[in-house]
Amino acid sequence: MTQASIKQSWKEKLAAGQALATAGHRLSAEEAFERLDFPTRRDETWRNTSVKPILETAFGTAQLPRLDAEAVRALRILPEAHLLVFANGVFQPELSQVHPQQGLGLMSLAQAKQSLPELFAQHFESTGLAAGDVFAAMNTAFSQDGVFLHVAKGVALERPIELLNLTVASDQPVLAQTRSLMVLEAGASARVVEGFYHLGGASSLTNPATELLVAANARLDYHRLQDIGSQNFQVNTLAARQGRDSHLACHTLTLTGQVVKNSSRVDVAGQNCHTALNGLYLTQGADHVDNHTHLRHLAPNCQSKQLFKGICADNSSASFMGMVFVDPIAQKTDAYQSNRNIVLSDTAKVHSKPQLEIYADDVKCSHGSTTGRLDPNAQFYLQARGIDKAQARVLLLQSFAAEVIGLVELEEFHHHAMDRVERHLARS
Amino acid sequence: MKTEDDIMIEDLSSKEYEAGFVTEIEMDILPKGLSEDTVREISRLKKEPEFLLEFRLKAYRHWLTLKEPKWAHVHYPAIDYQDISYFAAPKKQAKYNSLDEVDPALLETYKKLGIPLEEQKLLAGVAVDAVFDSVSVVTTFKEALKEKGVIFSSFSEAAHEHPELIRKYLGSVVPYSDNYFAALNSAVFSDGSFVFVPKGVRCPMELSTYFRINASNTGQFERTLIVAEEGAYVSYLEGCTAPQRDENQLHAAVVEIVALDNAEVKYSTVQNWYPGDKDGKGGIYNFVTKRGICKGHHSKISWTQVETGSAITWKYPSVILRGDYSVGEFYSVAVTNHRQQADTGTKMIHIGKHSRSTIVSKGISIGQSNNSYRGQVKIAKSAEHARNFSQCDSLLVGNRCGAHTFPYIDIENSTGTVEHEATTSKIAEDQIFYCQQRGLDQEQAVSLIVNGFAKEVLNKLPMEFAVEAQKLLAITMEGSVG
Repeated sequence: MTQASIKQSWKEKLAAGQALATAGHRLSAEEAFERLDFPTRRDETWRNTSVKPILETAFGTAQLPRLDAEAVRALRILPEAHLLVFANGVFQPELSQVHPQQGLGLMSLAQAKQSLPELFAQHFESTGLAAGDVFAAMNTAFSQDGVFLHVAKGVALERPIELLNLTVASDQPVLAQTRSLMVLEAGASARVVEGFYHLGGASSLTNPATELLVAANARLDYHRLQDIGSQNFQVNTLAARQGRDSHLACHTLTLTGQVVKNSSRVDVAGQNCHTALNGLYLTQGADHVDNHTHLRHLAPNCQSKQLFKGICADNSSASFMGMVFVDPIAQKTDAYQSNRNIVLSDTAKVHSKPQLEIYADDVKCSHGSTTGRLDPNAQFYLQARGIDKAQARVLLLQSFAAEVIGLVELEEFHHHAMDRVERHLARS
Repeated sequence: MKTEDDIMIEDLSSKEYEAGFVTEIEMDILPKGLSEDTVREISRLKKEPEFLLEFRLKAYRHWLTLKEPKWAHVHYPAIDYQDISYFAAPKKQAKYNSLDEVDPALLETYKKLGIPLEEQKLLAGVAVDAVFDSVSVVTTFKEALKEKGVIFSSFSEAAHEHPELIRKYLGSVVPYSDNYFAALNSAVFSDGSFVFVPKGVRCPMELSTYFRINASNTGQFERTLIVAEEGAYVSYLEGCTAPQRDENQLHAAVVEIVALDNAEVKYSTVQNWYPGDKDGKGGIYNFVTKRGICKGHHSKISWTQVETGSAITWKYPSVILRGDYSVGEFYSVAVTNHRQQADTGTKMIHIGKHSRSTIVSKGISIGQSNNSYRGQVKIAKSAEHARNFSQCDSLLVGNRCGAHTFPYIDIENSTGTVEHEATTSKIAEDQIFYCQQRGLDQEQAVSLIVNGFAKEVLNKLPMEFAVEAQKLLAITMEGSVG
């Protein structure tokens, strides 16, 4: 199939209902979607990830999913949290649960567009997410629903928010996308956990996009768990903007996926911000995970830290591409970026490209990248102390992974993630 | 109000090029323009064997199919390839036996640059093959090398005397189809050096060549080929300075190095071409392809470079580590000032088992310049137990310059170990304060700190060059403060 016919067929599947975007955004995003080619390995940000298997999949028309409430409950990490559930991009109100609180606006984005039109118009696509990327443009042009979170000025949410982003296919592969908009007003704080799962049937492609707007003094902890299964694809775009003195932490744990591409762009637009982007990916089989971060320091006195770690087994491959940009006015920036990988087999592949682009002189910016195998000396040390080889291996890998998970402050997610990683590693 | 720092930075930024002067010597220049006829004419003027003409023509035809690459982090006005003259040779082509017979104007040029040609002859430590523009003028110490069986001559001479070697190795590391500028070079290369060190021979002296762009608008297309047979060792030095010009000059050189079993080649270069004036006017475009191949086991290729010149530098000396246990090294100091742009780094392609590579890159940006490190480390599936260590440090002086790092790291097996580290910082005030407390003035303190910053690389240069390089750094950094 040609690119044009693939686009046409995708568009038919995605644009059946009422689009979220206002006419202006929709038109320009649709124009970008038509104009831009699907990325190839000649595109710098996609040089390690092939979209070919995605383009070769013939997606069917999305079915109305029938979900088993019990199965959904089993996926929950935070039983006490607010919950929004989406299946194949469609909001599931009967499975969702929001505990009302003063200053909390949590609902589906389509509903927010109706009931809070001003907030919606003010913030939707305000990060310019759709520009220059065909998948993000597709999301902006055709998305029909997703998460809307608004936390009013000075409000601290005690209860975390849990989002379940599910796909269910019948015998035909399914194509789905959601659009999330999270706005934290000045001094607000929230913790969000989003899980991506595939519940069965043929394969799926999910194309979620998220905008995070963190105003002055606000704090957002955003956690992602991607366990979509080894026959499925995800192209995940995130764009964030931070006001002065704000905190933003994004943790991404990727367990499975035939192709998972995470593109995250953070604009640090106010002074004295803290930004943390962390990721852990454990690839097995023929899985492929690609994390791409673009952190732009546009104001002075900010601190950013990035830690991405990977363990790659079998025929799997992983890629990390990170960019720290420091604007001439962003003096006293303290930025650190680190990518560490363990390669467990001779057929696994790792690509790493940490980058710095710096235009201010009074800064402390550095990055590091290491890739190697499991340290045989460390393994021997444990064996000498009576731990068998397989167990020693798992122990060492766990401690390698624990550095990333250790940065998660939300306790329930921390424990859950550690538990999932342990089980995942023991299996390999 | 201007702070003391601003004044110092301005001082430094306004420093004019010190080696800027023009020697008046008659030149043989081909008319501007590039076509198949130009290529044939160059080959005819140089009386080249048939196979070289064919190589040039193939390259030219391939070049026509290519597009100029745009991916580097540099900006420059479009180059009109038809507005360049592709061949220039000093008029007097006689061969000299002693320096007395050499055109005195030429010797004067070297004197101004502080190249002690006569001294070197006396010292007998360095053989100098001085390339003035495109044709070899003086070759010394040839006899001493001949005894050992080492061939060190201009490329054209080698094409006549050792066509079988040229035929065997030319294009074997950088094929004419490699990239846009390599194809252009392959089509129109003027001259360069050829070094061949036979099996088991340790070259008795450092070999050095001084390139110097002289004629206006000629462009230089040097071609250097270094071959070290089994167990051979050679250290090759190259240094460049060029007179002040107002029009941009294109330099697209190709350097190829072949190291067979147990051989070692050390390639050092100090590059100080005219960088343009403080508004970025004029200056050399330096688009170079340099690559070595460690073909045999236990072979070693080492690149050391000090880059202070050129308006635009676009250069990635690379090593293909094909032999088992082979070693590749890259040590670089790049200083950019005014509106200079440098996009430089290296590629280490590990193919052989237990191959090792080390990359140490130091970038210093001053004024409104941009300095990028771009490098690739690739561990192929076959490169079991390969190891790489990379360190890229950048120093920024002033807040109008930029320092960038773009490393590509690709690993395809489980036994490879790759480490990469990069830092960007300015000269810390407490460091300067510490020096000042001990009686150094601010300028001396900065010079000391910068020299310390670059020491790791400068130490790798051969003695003869280390002095020159340090002087060059001191001149470039004079009056600067972080």
